[in-house]
Amino acid sequence: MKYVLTAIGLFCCTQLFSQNKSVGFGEKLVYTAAYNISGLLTDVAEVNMETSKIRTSKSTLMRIKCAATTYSGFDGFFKIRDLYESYVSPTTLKPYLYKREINEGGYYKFMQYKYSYKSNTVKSLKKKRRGDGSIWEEKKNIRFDKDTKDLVATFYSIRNLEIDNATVGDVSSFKVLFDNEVSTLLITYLGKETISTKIGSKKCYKISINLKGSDILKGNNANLLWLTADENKIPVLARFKIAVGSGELKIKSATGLKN
Amino acid sequence: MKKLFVILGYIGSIFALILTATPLFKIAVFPILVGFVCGLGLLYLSKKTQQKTKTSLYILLLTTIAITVLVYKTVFYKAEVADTEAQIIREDQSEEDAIELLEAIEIDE
Repeated sequence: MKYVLTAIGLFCCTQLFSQNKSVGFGEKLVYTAAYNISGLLTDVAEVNMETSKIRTSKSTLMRIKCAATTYSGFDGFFKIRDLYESYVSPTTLKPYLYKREINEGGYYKFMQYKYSYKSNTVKSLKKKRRGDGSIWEEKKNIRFDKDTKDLVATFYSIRNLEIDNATVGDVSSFKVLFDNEVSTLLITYLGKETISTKIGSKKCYKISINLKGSDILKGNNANLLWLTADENKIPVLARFKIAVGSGELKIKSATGLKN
Repeated sequence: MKKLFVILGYIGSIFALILTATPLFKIAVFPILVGFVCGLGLLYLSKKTQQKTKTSLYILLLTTIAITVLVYKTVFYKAEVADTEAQIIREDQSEEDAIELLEAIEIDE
């Protein structure tokens, strides 16, 4: 009996922790992406992150859309039109479909993951543009653990971490599926900080992000994220260091928040 | 020394002017500094040797124009996204395709 109760308790706790309490339908976050050019941060693009309700004949899902668009002045130099989408359960942020379409200075790539939780596989579709303009595609079946999520769903899941109870140095890990490879994302809580943003002065949770087994993110504690220390846990500032340089993502506006 | 100031001064001020006309205007601050220092150095050397100060004044004039454009753009330049209609159409199309795909996916919630 004791074990049954413990099992039920543990199950309830898992469900409780995996519930989405921070992200609602109709949320719109707008960011300015700045890139470090010769030591000076220059605003190069706008990033829009939106959630909306999607109805299929069988269920209601949440569409998380992240779009990156370069400012008109930079379109002539390096035009970026990126679109990342994840279709997730609104209660648990469990992903069912992921799409990534990137258009960066003539480079085109499309990735699509269809999740099957019955067989624990992801049907992946990859499309790329060849030099002659034709498109080639590759289909793959990837096995994954049940808690593996795509990049977009992971980013939103970070907002549902119980950071309030965390102590400095606490680490959480997420399994992320990116470019057909499963990597481990390590989130380290670094403490609280008050920062000035376009949406006012905010008390924030400062966390560092490291990707284990991948060289996309560079440096030790060089990739930082500030989440508002409230129930919405909006990312208001992000500093990143990648292979081709470093930059910053600053919030411009936040509307339609859940809490 | 004087020749070096002339060459660096002209390169710096012209490069600064070109950069201020681009979206990368913020980094024009570096060639502006080069042009300004070389222009002043040249002016000092020309006055010391009692030679014509025309070249140094040209360099300083170009640098001043670059500074004016830089300050103007820093204060009034508003970065905007263009071509939003095409992007919206693309996003709507992607959503329609996704709904079709989701109909075929087993959703357990």
